Amino acid sequence: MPDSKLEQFIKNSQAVENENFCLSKNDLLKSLDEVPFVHLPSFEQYKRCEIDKNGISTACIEADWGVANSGTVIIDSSKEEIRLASSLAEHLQVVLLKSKLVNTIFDIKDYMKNQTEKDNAYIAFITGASRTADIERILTIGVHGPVKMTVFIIKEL
Amino acid sequence: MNSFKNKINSKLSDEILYNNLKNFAASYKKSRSAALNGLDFENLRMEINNKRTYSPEYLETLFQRFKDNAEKSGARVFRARTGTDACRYITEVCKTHETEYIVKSKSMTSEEIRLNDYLEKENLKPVETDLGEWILQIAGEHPSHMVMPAIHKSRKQVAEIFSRFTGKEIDKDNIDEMVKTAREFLRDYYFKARVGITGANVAVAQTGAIATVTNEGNARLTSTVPPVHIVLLGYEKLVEDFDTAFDIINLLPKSATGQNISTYVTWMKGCYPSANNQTDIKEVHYVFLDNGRLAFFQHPEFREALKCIRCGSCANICPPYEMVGGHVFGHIYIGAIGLILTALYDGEAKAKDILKLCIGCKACSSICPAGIDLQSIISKLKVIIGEEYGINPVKKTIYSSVIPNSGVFSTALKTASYFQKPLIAKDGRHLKSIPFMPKSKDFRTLPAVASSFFTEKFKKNYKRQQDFKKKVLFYPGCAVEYFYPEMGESLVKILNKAGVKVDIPGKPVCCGLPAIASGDGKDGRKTIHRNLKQMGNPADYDSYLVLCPSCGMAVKEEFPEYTADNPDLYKLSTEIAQKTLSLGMFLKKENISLKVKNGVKVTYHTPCHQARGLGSSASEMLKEILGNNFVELEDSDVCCGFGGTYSIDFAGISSGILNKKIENIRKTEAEIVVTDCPGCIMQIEGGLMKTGIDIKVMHLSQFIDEYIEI
Repeated sequence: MPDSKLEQFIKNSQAVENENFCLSKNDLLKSLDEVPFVHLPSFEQYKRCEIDKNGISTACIEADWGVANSGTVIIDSSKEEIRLASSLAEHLQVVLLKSKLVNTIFDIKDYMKNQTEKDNAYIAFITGASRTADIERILTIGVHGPVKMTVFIIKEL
Repeated sequence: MNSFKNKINSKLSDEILYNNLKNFAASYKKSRSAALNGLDFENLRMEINNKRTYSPEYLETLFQRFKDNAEKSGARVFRARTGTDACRYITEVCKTHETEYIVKSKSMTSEEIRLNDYLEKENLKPVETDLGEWILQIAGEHPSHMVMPAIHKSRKQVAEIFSRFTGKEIDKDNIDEMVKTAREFLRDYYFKARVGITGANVAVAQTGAIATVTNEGNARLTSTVPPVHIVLLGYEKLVEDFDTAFDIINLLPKSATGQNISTYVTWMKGCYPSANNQTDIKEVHYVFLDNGRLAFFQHPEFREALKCIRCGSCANICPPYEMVGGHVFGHIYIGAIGLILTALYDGEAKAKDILKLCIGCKACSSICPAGIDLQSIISKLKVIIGEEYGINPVKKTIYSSVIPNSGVFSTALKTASYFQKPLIAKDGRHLKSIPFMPKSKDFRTLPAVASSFFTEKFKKNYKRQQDFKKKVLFYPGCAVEYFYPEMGESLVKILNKAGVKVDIPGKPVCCGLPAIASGDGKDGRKTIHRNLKQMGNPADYDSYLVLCPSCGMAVKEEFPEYTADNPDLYKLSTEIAQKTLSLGMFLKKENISLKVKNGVKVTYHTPCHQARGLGSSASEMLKEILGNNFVELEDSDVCCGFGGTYSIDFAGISSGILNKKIENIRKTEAEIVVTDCPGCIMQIEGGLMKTGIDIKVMHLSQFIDEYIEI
């Protein structure tokens, strides 16, 4: 099953109401025009904007890992602007290289150890848009953070 | 006690609470089992439990490692001995930074130390950012659930709270609009606050990193926007490495809400960049709270409670909690763990009433992802508190002078059997009415005391059994002895047919569980010692049988525990414990073939102590014998509300739990409910008769005797 990790990731990512697209590098780069905040080290694409309490429309950020069995993306957010952008964007777009898929969070234990051995670290595991069920257990999306989340999966650089 | 009873009654009549909790319990069970599908839950929780057994010395080592890592990266670590120490330290930090507002994100620990009250007295303004907690904060209330703080509120009530607070008219049905309103208001506070306070779900000693788990993303903003971040956490949050941390992160959401993983798991280490801070880096403080914890790490049983990962599942499946909610069932911390932590952190005086709310069904122990045997700790605390505060004097007399003494007990009940004659209903087996029984406690038709007791009948009718090769000792227990001798007779008849000889103890003596469950350990011990003297030599018997799983559980668990200081009795009790089985378990073990005589539609209620004491259920066996005539009972292994004297002490809770059971029984359209426990029969049959529902309730022994060929 060559694609099982990818299929599993998409299935679990869909289960938390994410949109998921497999894109080519070119299509991805074309889609960035309208996006005010971009942070994609693998593609050397960076854009910055003012982020205040009114938030921003969209942020497109590259993930370090994708976890197949839960549809989770792992984003190194040690840079403050990445924390603010990923928390305060209405629409969070995450770019994930297919080669960065792992089966479970247990597969990135060493990464977590290495990252947090540094002087400071801030690593986010994100699985879907911000949500709550605090009122009558009715699931409501977008309580403090993003109202919408999309994952762009790039099969090859 | 009276104000406590009033509080219970007001919750019992709260319809919103009733429906919210009932619906939540039903959907929770489904989503939890879906989330755990394919995982070896028992194994995972054992692993978490083993990995987190810390000696006080090892805990200190973990703490020092965390502290070194945190301080090396510029964070400050403060050890707060008491809640007040923690409050004082946090207040000082807030004042240093001249902040008016403080944003807070999900910290039960701050509730434990009443941090908000303290800050407000100091003219500071803490703002809860978790939606549910904020709703309660502006309503002036406390959370009633660990992960669903506002589960007791309806959308209408929330709309009213918001309208009052914002001065805007809010659509009473539009939850989306309510969430948006909260989002706007709270967004402002993140940017106004100079200090953010969060809790931590785990603290990894290996590198000095912590994790917070949220669905809303509020902990991310709380720890990102303000220039100062304070983390308030108990020492029990320490784990050695990411392996254990991930074990917890993996099971926590599945147990809490039935989610595969929480939306945000945020890991932080040291002082990360912060533009709002003049130094451009975040000022980070870790406040480690003792508040009694460190002493409990030295106690072999209580330290188990410190393994709690705050998932709330012990409340989610607790039948009494489901009836009254967390404002009664707990204090700050709620559910089974709440009863325990209240005793540990707030002292016995605060805990003595609420501990009694535990019905002893063990559902919490079987569901806890940290592998804590919550119910046993609650029993232990009841005994400790019973010694300190005494137990109800009427109960005390019964447990100390009547129950351990079979002569006195038999005589008392014999007398009762004469006096009850005018009260007996037409069927000759139940009471029409009970004088002096207040209406609120009169929700069942109760059985009459038998006119002749089991031991007498046995000596008269079954003295001469064939000398079969196989031999068992049947322990009748009080219910069979005095109320339901026919169940015992059925057992003897069945086993004789199957070629098994039955002996019984010389004199009937209670198993001691009722006394222990009420907190009377001393009399429990006396009773157990008296029992062991007449239970024969285990070498002579293939098995020891019970028809009451609570007696069985007492034999298996309490007998060894209460003889631990007496090597001979301990050896005897463990040998007996190993051989103790229910009738169904014995028939299965001996491979005795059973065939149904005629078609009758049957369902099965699994008694608590059958499922979670003896670890078995007869439903598989009945399915095999009856085929399509067997109907599964929804929530079969959920308590029926009996709990012995619980059903009199807390009749309102007991009858509420019973009504849910009866509702599920009616849904099966079965003619007979089979079960394995005389107590459950007293409760379920009593409830069905009182409401005039014509469904028969039978013990497995009676059912086999009447409907099955051997």
